[in-house]
Amino acid sequence: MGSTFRESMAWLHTWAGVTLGALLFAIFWMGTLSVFDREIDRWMMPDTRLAASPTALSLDRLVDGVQTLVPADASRWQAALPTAREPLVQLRYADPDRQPVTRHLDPASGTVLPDQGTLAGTRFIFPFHYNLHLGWRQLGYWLVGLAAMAMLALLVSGVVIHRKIFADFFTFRWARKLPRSSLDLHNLTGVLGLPFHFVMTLSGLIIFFAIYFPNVIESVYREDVAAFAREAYGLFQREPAGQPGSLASLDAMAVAATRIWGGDPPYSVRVWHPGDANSTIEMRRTVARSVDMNVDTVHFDAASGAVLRTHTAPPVVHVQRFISGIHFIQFDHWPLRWLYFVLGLSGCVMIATGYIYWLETRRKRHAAQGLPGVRIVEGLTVGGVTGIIIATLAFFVSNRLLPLGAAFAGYERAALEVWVFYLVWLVTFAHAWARPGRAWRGQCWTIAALAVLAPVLNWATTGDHLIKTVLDGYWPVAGMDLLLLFGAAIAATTAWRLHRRGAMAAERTERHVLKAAD
Amino acid sequence: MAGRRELVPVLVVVQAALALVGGYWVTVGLSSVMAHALTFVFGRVEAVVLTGMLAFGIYLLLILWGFAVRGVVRLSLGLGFVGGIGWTLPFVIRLTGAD
Repeated sequence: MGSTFRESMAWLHTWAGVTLGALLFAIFWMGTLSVFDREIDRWMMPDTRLAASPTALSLDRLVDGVQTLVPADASRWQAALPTAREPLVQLRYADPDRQPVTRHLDPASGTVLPDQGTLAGTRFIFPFHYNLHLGWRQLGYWLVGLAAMAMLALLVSGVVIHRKIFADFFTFRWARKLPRSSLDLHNLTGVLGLPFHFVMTLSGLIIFFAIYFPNVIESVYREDVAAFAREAYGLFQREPAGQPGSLASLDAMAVAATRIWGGDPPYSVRVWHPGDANSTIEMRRTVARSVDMNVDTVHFDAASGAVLRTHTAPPVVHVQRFISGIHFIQFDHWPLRWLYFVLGLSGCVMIATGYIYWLETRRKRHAAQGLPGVRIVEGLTVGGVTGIIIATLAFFVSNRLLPLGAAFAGYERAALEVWVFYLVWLVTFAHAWARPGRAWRGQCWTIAALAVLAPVLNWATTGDHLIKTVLDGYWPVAGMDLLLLFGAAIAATTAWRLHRRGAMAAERTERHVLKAAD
Repeated sequence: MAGRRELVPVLVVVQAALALVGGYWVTVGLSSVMAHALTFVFGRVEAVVLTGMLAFGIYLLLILWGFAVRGVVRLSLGLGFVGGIGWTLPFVIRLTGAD
């Protein structure tokens, strides 16, 4: 690996990056998009583009709408209450087949909105970021965990191998040859975003410590592992009595909870064993007003509205929730949200330029020695970088093209969108390996075309064109359209530059051949 | 010499795998001991959460050391010694009733 510590770290940096870079890019890309997951939801679910309700939400009136949806024998239902970023009620429950269901309600009228038939940002892009939608034995969590540990090792080894880390911060020779300029950009984004990337990666791991190190809980709690969830997160429920019970005013309980939390309102209401004499109401404190993802909870007796139990996290758990809050950024702070987005993108650039540097410094040597390394890694890079961007855009475009209620081969609309994502992603890898050298350019043009098509389709299918949404100040949709068009411009410029570079290289080769022939 | 050169990539892969898997194995052992020990200082829920957070730091250090140490034998011995302590102590504590 190396005879010195620095050489060993250089080896680790190179090979951890080459083998796990594509996975890391996917995680970073989806994490960056997740910063605006609620806004992506509004774009992909046109019926949920509601204006903020001028009147306060009545939970008691909400129950009427809920009871029309939730099966009578359901063990629980949960309602996430409207926020500044999500001006509707999100209802979750299990259908008679025990499958999870998510529906949306208009907080002003209490009416149930039509099923939007999409997993959109909060249920596809965000979970992809931390579990890749690979549920089998939590494989996705473990792969993401492995990539995250590799990222920490990459960041530490990156610092160790850079002799001039401070100078790298101010150095970007964009006009130099590709290996030099890509390394400069790799160093610049790496150094600039180092604290952010380190904190995000470590906090992402800490959020799921119970998955990665379950032994820690088992070693202390032994057989009663559930006690940990009760003590740490305030989980509490009573056994159902089997007798019918009534429901006191949820609005009154919300007022009581708000008083207990010093003015902070609840953000979610969960009803355990609805309709039972032992039914319990669980209210959780808003996380919009502070960094930490608090686990403050009040449990009420559903029939009387009496407080059964209150829960606040112990100090160390509070620290863990604060670290989680830094990662989740659920608090209201728009400038910081944009900073997260930009630094997330800088992480994507750092990974992509690392790959490009590796490829450009080995291309000639591998070609001369007949080694397949560059060709394999180039396919991985193109599919992993531009490929996932194309797949994401295809996901958006399919959302606007598929009619509500669409189904094919037994798959419903939401599943079809996900299939489009994965199939397109697979095709980009095949394209990258089939057309080495030209795949970058072709995929950049595809990104540009899809990123223009998406806002056009949004206009055609919803009537919400960019000028209208900007004039109305409806920024979730306007912002998404603007970012798509901005992305299209960057992709088109890159494709054009690659086209010119290719043409100039071909011209040079032709001149050499002619000179040799003379 | 040629045989030795062919062995190098295999040894590199073995060392990388040892650093990752062995490092995790050692971290699991050490974190179990640490969680036990911290229950004497904090409440049990806090001991668990604090150990859960610190475990990633231990694992990261072990990975970096695993890639930097020269020789698979030295790495195996190091991991085996520390991991052995980490995995044995909880059983000793349980057997002696010290918890």
